[in-house]
Amino acid sequence: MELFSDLSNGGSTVYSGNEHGIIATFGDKSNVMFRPYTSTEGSPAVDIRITNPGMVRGQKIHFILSRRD
Amino acid sequence: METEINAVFTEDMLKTLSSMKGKTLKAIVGVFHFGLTNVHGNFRLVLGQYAVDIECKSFIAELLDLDGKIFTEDFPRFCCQKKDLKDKFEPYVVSKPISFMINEVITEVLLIRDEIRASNGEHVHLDQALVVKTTEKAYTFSRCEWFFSDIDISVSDKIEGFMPVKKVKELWDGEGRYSVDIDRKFLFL
Repeated sequence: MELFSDLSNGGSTVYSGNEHGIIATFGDKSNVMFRPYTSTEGSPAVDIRITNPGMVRGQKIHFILSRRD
Repeated sequence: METEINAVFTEDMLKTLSSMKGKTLKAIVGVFHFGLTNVHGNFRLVLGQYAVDIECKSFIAELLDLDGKIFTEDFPRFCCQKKDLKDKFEPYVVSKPISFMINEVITEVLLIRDEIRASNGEHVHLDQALVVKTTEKAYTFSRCEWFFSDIDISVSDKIEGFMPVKKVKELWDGEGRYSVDIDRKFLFL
């Protein structure tokens, strides 16, 4: 959620009911989506779509909880 | 190791899409961003007697990681469903849908379909775009990155606005690790 909060700064946000997620959209149609539930159990994801990539590509980032034994 | 992914309309869905030919496209309904240029997840084509809901819906696909091992991932693909005009349209995003009035007769429906073969063993059949041609315009509804449910919409005299082959290659080449062959077909329904 922290990453989404940072990346979505300046975008306009809407909720996606079907995906239980939040989407932040920017003026050039780039957007960032936070999905708390994905097909990978216990692994929320942040999907990044960049319409004018330049040096950066669109990314799908999964977060996995690591445990210390 | 190899994986095969079928991210295409089913045969029944193709029949539904083909049935739109000759019908009047009354309106396009959805929660649009930037005018009629982008929608997240789904939209509705309203015809005279019925409607067709188009959706970019996730299914679970098997992909290959950098070590060649299979992992699963959410993979949105185009789907469609015939609807009664009385059925309420349920947009993906929590916002009020709006209607763009069209009132043009549909003359052609076609798909832009890619067959992608990456040298790491991934083999993907992917419908990149749905094109609805009318007596006046071509409405192109195009996928973006494979992991996103966004649909870009282009309204023009010609078919345009869909993802170029070069960009599809970039999305499947593992940041330059793999070679990628793409066979692109225009399927007239």
